[in-house]
Amino acid sequence: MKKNKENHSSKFILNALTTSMLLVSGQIYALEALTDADLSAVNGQDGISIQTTFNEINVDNAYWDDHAGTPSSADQVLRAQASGIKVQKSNGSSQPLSTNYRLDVGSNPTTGKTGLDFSMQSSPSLITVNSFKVCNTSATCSPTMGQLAIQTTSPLNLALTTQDGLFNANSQSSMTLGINNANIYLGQVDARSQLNQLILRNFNFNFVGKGAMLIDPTRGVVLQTNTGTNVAGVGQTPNTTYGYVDFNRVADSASGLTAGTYVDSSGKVTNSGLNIEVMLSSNVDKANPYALDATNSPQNAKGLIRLGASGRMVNSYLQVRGMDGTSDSTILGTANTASGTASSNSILGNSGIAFRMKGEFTKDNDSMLGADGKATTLEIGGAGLNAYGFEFGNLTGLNSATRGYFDSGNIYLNLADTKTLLMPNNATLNAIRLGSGTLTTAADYQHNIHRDTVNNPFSLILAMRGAEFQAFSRRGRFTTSANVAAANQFADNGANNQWGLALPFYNLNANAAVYGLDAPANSAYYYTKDANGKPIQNVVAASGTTSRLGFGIAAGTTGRDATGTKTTSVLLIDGSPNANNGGSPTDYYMGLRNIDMFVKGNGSIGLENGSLNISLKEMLLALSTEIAAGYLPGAKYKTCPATGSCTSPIDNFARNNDVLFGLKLRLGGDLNLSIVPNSSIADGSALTVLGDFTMPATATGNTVQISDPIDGSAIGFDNITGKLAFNTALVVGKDTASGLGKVGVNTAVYFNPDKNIDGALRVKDINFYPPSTGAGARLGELAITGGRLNSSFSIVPRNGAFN
Amino acid sequence: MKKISTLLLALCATVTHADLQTLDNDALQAINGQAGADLSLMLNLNQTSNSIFDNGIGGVCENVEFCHIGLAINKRFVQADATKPSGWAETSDSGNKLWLVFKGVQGTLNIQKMGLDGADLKYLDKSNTEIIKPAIQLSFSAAQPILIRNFGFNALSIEQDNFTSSTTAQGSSANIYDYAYFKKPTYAATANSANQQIATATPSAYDHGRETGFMGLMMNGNLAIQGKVMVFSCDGSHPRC
Repeated sequence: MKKNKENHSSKFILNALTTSMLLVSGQIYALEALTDADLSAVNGQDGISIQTTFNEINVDNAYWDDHAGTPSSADQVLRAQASGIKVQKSNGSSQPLSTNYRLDVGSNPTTGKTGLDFSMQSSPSLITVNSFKVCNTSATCSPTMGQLAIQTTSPLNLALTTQDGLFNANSQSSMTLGINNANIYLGQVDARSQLNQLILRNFNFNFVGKGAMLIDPTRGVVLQTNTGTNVAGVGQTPNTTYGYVDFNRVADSASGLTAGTYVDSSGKVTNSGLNIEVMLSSNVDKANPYALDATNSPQNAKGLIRLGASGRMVNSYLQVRGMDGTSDSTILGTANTASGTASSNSILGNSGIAFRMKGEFTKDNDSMLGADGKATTLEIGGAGLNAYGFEFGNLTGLNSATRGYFDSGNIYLNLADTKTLLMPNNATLNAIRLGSGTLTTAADYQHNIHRDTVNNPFSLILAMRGAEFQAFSRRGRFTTSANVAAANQFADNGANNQWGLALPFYNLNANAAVYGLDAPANSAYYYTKDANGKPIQNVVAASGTTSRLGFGIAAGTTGRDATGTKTTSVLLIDGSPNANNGGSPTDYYMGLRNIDMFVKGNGSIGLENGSLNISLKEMLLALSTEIAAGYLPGAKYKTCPATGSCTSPIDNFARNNDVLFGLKLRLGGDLNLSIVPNSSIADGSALTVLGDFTMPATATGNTVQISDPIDGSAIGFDNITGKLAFNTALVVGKDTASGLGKVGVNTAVYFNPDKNIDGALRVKDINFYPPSTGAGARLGELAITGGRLNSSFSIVPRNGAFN
Repeated sequence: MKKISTLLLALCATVTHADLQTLDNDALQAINGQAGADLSLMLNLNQTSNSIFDNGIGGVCENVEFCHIGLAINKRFVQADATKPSGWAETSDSGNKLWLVFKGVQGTLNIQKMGLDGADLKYLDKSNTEIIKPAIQLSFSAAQPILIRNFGFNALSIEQDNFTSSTTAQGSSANIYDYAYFKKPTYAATANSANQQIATATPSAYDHGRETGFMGLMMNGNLAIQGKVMVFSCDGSHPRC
């Protein structure tokens, strides 16, 4: 033994000697200049590199506990629970399941500061969750919300490089996150035991950012593009103080696609860097629910709608924090029992998650684009392949000298046990005359999230307060996705279009409560249409229950801020060159301006028959807007008056100079509808909505009013009751005459579809309202016994004069 | 100094030169170069796609009582009164409500093409100050007229509810034909016909089977407009507002 040991020892010594000699000789070699490649190879060996491969991961339960105020307790733990989680190899990839980590720590000899270089790459995977429920601590659960799955067909990338520590508000770091080509599934089994899925296809969240990471006692964890409290003004260029976030377009993981509007430099089809494509799939094969077709798309899924954003954003931040709302009774209110008994316990409870994000959109030729940035574009259109879309470009704020932006406001995520939630009041709507009362009252702003009078479901609550989206597009264009046939392509790519659309919103507040629901199948409806296009109501099944997502929502916007710098509007922009302003866009606008809106309701969402079926009871829509046309604030006139200013007042949206008339309405009742996915050009390139709307014979307060903008006198079609069925299609297509894009709205409205007494559309009071104050004077009433009104409206944007 | 002067002179020369150049019509148009949108709108009420009243089998107006529009003027009631020749006396507070009922309401209106643009409108206000007013400019072309097809109603009549209402309370009935606006009397074939489904119907060999009323209206035509309409907000400073 001893001899053996000695042998080992001598062998080691010999090795050490050899190594030393090698090292010495190495040093001699080191005198030779090292190439960059050699250097990086040497550095690479500094840090840690971990490569993991695995076959499968199984997790029984993963959960999130939230402390909530309930009708019976000021502090009750509720648990959102995902059961039966499985991570496996993606069926959309041949790569084995693996994750590679790399971590380097290095210091900068000049500054003496230490930074971190971390990166992670995870191979494509399929993560499935059997059920997702909300429960209390005694394991009483609401029904499942459904099956969830995330399927990726491209690797996931995460990289972080810091210059000075990990969390430092004053030092710029860079971060890359690439969630690319992910398909996210929500599956529900209906009463006919068919599996139906709601799918986010090719979900992308792909960004490269430069900015600072910090932890702040009040703001929580913050990622921001600028160091400290700096703000990149117009004219600033990117540097180590002013960073940015680039949402880079992502190459589609499928090969062999025919290019549409968007391709990368190598000709590969790309989707927007932030891409949300909603698709639906019905009666999916339960043995293989996540099957993909040859284009890496979920098999047989049909497109509903797509939203996207790409390009550089600046002055942005994302913050996440914990939240104690025990003593707060104003954000969401206090918990109520199913029978309506109030308590003083805050729904928010003493824990919850709050987050907020903001980003400013870069304009065309924005100085913050530097050498390599691309201006922000937003997209909306049909989901899936062979579909049309629409791109909003050249985005600015309401005043064209400023940047457009999105601010999510404060977003609160909580679990709850309550019947009602509270919304902020809208003072404008609360002041509009209706008969001898007002359009809305404070009581309208407390809304039910369900209608059961015995038990509250445990719900997941997402609340948004003060969200803003102020972006005016001066260049809109129609786009095509991949695999659109040559005959259906547009004659022009629209890059030089001189018109735009703007859909800004100001002070958007919203509550959304969702919960699992076993809905009675004989009162869960989906709609189809007959040969004449009339909507037909179908029940999911004659008996039993069907798995649906119960929900209660409320949302409201404010028309404008006090000085008219922010607005909620739907506007068409005429952006033709203004010769009086160096050829800059003219900035005429026309449309619905300063929209004060409140909408609420509760009901269920089902996916039966391959459509998105929504039942919305106790629905209320209250709205006040101005139909207006004029110049955007601060815009230079095309022709100057002989005397006086030649620019539009900066507070133009707070004045009534441009207003043609005001429109106010309140519609309440029960709404049932199906949104049928027909995004594909083969299916008509449409968003079809089929359904019916009942304003009960006993309802009061439903009204449509047209008012004078100056003195407020109005004609009111008040106290409307009756039932309407509707078949509406929003169609994006190609105008055969011009070869350019067009938008069409085809609607068929059936009055009194069931042909009965209460279904007749009645306007029980037509009132004239005097200026400013005073109750209405009754003119008479109106009844429409039935019939059908078809309308087809189309709009073809045009560059150049009318001919 | 000399150099600067020369440069200034050169600049002046350039400016002058540019000013002297006349712009031709094409160039002017390019500068004004409006961008807007072309709209089209077709409305069709109770008709088939070829603008014919949809009262055939399975049609939306197969049951004619469901293609009515009723209009009631405030405080128009009648009460039974044997002393009146008609048997009814007018009242303003309560009684059977009177309705003006449009029967067989229908029509097609087709605006084939309408240009939508922004435009500057110049006018002098009441104090003779020049005002620049941005306006919506709607353009029409005579080559694509507005089509009006069978637009109107088959019959107009005054009907009364078979139940009583008042200015403060709406009456009601379980029978649909007690409501004035659902009533569908038709002309009988002969004076003795029993075809008096809802109310007393007058015999008419010519109008046999059609809904009763004292007049009908039907409009057909092509409305050709060549020109522009400016729509703008008219505030108190405008001479006509």
